[in-house]
Amino acid sequence: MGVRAELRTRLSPIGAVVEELRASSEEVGAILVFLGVVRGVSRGRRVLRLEYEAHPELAPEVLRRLIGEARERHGILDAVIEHKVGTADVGEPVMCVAVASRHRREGFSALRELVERVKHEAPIWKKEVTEEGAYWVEERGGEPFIELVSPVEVSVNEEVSAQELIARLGLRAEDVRIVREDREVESKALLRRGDRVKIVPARVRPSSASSQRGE
Amino acid sequence: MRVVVRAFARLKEELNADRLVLELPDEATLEELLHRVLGKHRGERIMVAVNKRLLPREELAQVRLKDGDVVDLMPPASGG
Repeated sequence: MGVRAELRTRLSPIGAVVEELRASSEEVGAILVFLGVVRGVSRGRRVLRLEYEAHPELAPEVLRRLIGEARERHGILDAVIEHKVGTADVGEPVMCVAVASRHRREGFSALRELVERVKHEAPIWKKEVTEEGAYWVEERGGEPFIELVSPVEVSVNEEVSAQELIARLGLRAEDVRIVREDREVESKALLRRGDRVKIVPARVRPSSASSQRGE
Repeated sequence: MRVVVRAFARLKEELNADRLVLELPDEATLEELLHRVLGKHRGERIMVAVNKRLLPREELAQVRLKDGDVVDLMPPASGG
């Protein structure tokens, strides 16, 4: 039995990974594969490509540890993880997690857990290059960096889209609205230097943002 | 003492360097280094490794650095 966890500039063909696991032990009764590919649209923006960076030594080490823990917890026989580094085009496979187990049940549990843990624990990062600009993708454990509790007025000092302004402030798009001259601004709308906008918590209606401050 | 700091992904861009060499007082703590390098980003939930050992969050406050240490500063994971 072996464990293979690698960073690659191009993922192996999925058939080769399946064959590797199939041949790894006579006890294998199930092989499950998760293949992540680059989505062409992300949060309403057209994606041109993704750029992956990883810690060259720590990322494979963490991936191997995750496989070891999945083996102990779920009793799987073997697993392979390959993760892309470098530039990835839309539709390109970027993450392959494959599990060999005696039975389907432990295979499904292990695969689901491994995929989640790879995304959240391995020192691998992706930058989304979209038509509107390039952004490092980061989840903050589902929690916004800051919480807006009352409307704030800001003066824009460089051209930026509404959604990018929200992201730069560490807010979550669904938590706030941007209002310019009493009208709500679409997330893709461009804000210009000198614009004065109001950022309003989403639960406060934009039309009455100022009067509801003390709600 | 001298400590090498390596920054990855977004932090590399924000610090405008992938490698910094810092002169620190002897017995300096990791906290002091983070404060000095990250400043206002201090509250972030970054990943930190010292000499290629990823440190659990609860250990960060206790680490003392020594001459020649290599400290890796990494943003939260976003692979997949």
